[in-house]
Parts: sequence; structure tokens; C-alpha cells
Amino acid sequence: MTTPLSKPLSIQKTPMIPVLIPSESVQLAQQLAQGHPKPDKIEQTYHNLLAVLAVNHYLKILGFQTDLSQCDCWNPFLRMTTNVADLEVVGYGRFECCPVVAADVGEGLAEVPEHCVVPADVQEERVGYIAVKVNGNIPQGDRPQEQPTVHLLGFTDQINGEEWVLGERRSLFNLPQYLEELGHKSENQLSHLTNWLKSQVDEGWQTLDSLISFQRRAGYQVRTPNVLRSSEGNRSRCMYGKTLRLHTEDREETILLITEVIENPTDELSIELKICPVAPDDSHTDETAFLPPGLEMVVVDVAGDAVMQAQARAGNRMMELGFHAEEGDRFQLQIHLKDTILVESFLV
Amino acid sequence: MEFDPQQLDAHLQELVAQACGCAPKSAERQGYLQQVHYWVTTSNRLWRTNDDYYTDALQDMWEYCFQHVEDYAPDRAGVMTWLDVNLRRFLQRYRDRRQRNLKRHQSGVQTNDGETLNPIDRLPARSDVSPALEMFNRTLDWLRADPEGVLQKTCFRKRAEINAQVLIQKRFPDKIPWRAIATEFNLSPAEATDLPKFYNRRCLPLLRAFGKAQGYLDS
Repeated sequence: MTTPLSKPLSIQKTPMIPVLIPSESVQLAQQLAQGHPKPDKIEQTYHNLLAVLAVNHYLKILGFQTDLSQCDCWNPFLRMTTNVADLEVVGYGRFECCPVVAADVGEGLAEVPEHCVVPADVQEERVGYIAVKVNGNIPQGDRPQEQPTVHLLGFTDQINGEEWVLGERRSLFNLPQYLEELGHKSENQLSHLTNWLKSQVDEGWQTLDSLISFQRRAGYQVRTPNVLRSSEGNRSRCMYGKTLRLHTEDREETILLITEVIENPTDELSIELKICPVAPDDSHTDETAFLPPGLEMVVVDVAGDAVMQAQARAGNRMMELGFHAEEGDRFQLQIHLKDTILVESFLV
Repeated sequence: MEFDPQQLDAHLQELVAQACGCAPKSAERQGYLQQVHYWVTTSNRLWRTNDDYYTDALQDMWEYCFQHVEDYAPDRAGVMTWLDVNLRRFLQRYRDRRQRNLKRHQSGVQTNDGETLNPIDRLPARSDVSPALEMFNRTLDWLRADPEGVLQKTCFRKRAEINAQVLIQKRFPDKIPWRAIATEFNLSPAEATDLPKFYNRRCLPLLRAFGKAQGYLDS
């Protein structure tokens, strides 16, 4: 039974959302920030942690799962050496929580500052940025702990440069919608390798015989059909490829990524990732049949750590990385060339 | 903000009903719950105590109530009352836990002389150098010494003076903004944009590798 509203209460477009951080978390932020020889770094770390914890607790209230243990700001070494305030939202990705210190901006508690500084070093691999206004300093000596005043100001999915103009922020009330879209997007972009063995291949991947220029240039033997039964029992294997374009400052490079999946008797899968050059269709020379020197392929695990990598040198026609994985494992292949990066995400 | 309590209660009831009409965990439901949280928090009408564990109980209450929003019975009480009842319940839990811990910690140890030892006196003394300070000093030593020469060899666009050693030192421990670093090295706007990327991709991995070798990082 609902009561009809006579005069609905209205919320301003981008409201400041007050968050009361649990006292246990405030205490923890104080402890973790201590120990650095420079007092301004202690304050910075404290404010970073308060911003992270405020977003963390707010998202938990809404039913999102977060994982602080995977965050750079939760590691003492990375906290000390970088100015980081990251929060991993399980299933969606990593947000940077950007503290705006009320005392620094010299404005009243109800005011939203004009901009927020987000260091360029923490702008990689972020799905979004959340501005958090923090009022409260770390207590000195034995002074009792004070409850800091914290407001969530808004979010954005990208920042140009290091200054985020807060007038362009989106309301936190749009965040669940944004995460839902993000979830759909990442699910669509994830290549599910176990399904490949059942001939369910993700969009964008093609059989190798349809990638003609690859065959012609790399002289690669393509086995058809794409799922073969070998003589050593029922070991299925399949291989699919996709062309990728890397736009660097001075030119565009086209490469071919081939992923081969082989079923092992131990329930594990062998995964081979290969990168080959692709010659333009109108080319009849071997000029472009080499990989661009410096091209790098890096396999990154679910924690975001690089586990193996390979780099192309002049005259290389192919490079590859192979490893074993179990069903349910997630990994990414990052392809770097100069300052360009392409990411392919896989679920085994 | 001034609120008409009746108007607020009606609005909250409407929002909770709307939330219940949406699929669990859907963005739409979360949107209605966000509004409930916003109006309740800004109205300052929620039950309040001065207990130091108040904010912990408050967090528990929000998480619980938003997970069990279907439990709210509009014919029995207003939304604010429902939240208050749950908040008091969580506060009581913290109070009980505190009492239990107090009893456990009060039991000092009696010596043969009949003297009661305070358990705190038996804790080992803290080391003079905190682990954080030790880590700071060790990292700084490594950075300055560059024992394998890899930091100095990692240069930005063949400019030997803009290397990993110099850049890491400027970002940590000196906290110099990128803009100031770009000015110092007379970088073009395009170079100034690329420098932090170079730092992330080429310099930070060296710092991480050092952290791993020292056991400061797990993986």
C-alpha cells in the first residue's frame, strides 16, 4: 500500500551525499596513514583512505561488493610511494576516489569546489572517478578521534588532464545505472574460452581460414575443421583470430591476434596467444610482414599483475605466450605499442 | 534542511514501495534506495546517540535494511521508525559486545606475591623504528643508489636527464606535480601528456619490482 504524494520532495541535480564512515574504519585509516616521515604525506594518505572508505561503505549499503585487499591504496608500499585512492568494485572494475579537502579549497561545508586534482599516475585502468569532499584532519598525539565530515560530490568516467572541473560531474544517483551499463559492456567484451570448445565463439573472433591475409603472409598452417580430435584421446582444440588496429602517434599498425585453446586430460586448458603482422590487402611485398619492433604483449592476472610478457624485435614475424588455466580463471592480454594500449579480456 | 515530518514519511514510504517493485540488485532499485538514504540522512531525524560505535551500528543498519527492504510493513510503522528500530537493535549488539570484551580484559593475572599484573604491561615493547619508516628509508636508499643502473637507463624519449631515477624521486618522495616537472624539462604539450604514461608503464613497474623483491608486495 502506498501513499500518494501531494507535494514530492525534489533533489537538486547533483546533490552532495553525506556519508558517516564507521568509527572502526576511521580508526583504521588513521593507523594506516601513520609512520611516514613527512607529515603532509600522512595527511594526504589519511584523506585518500577516508575518500576510499566513504565510497566503499556507501556502495556496500547499496549492495555492491568491493574488494579493498586488491587495491593499491591498501598496500603499505604502494600507499607510501604513490598518491593513490583506488577502490575495486567486484565485477565492474576500479574507481579512483578523489578527495577534495575542505580546508584546502577554503570554502564552506555546503560548497562544492570548482575543481579536483587527479594525478595522471592514477588515471590508468580506472572505470571512473568519484569526487569526495573530506573535512577532518588526522588527530595529533593523544587527542581523541573526531568523526570526519564526508560528502560524495559526483562522478565521471573520464578526465582530460589532471584537473577535473567539478561543474561537469554526474550525480551519484546515476552511478548504479552507469555500473549496470559497464557490467553489460564488460560481459559482452569478455571472451569465454571454455565455450569456444563447444563451438560458441564470442563476437569479433573468426576462423583462421576466413582471415586470408594472415594465411598468405604468415604461412601459417590452418587446421580445419576448427575443433579437432587428436589421437591421444578426446583432446579438443580450437583456434580463432581477430584483427586489431593500434593507432600510434605516427601510424596505424594492424596485427592479428590468434588464440588457441587445447583441452588437457588434467581438466586444465592450455592457452596459446599469438600475434602476427597483417599485410594490407593491396600489398604484394614482404615489407609489412614483420611485427612492429617494440610491440609488447603482456598477460595480466585478475589481480592486475603482469604474469608474463614478450616483446617484438626487428625482423620478428610472430610472438607468442602460452600457459595453463582452469575453468573460471580470468585474465587479460594487454598489447602495448609506444603509448597505445589494447586490452582483450578472457574468461576461461 | 527543514522537513515536514508527515510529508517526508509519505515520500519515504513511496520510495520504499517503488524499490520493492524493482528486481533485487537492479540499478532502478538501487536508485530508489539511494534516495531513501539521502532523505533520511539529510533530515537528521534518525535516532542518534553519542556512543563511539554509533557509526558502526548505523552502517550495519543501512546494509541490513536495504537487503531486507521487503520486510518493511507500511501498515505497522513509518519508514523512519522501521529504520530506528533496526538501528537500536544494532546499537544494542555493539553495547553487548563491548560489555563482554570488558569482562574478558578485566581479568588481570595474580602473581605468587598476590600482586595483580596489568595484561598491557606484558605486551612486548614496540621497536624504535616503525616498519613504515624502515620501508621508506630502504626504498629511498635503493632509489638513490640505483644498484643495477636500471633506473638511470630507463629514459624518456632518449633524454638521459629524464630517467626513472629522477622521475620516481620527484613523484615520491617529493610529490612534485607533473605540470612543474614538464616545465622544468621544457616539454612540449604532447611530451607533457606522454610523460605520466611513460612513468606508469616504464617507471612504476621498476618500483613494484623492487617492492616485490623486498617482500613489500605479494605478487
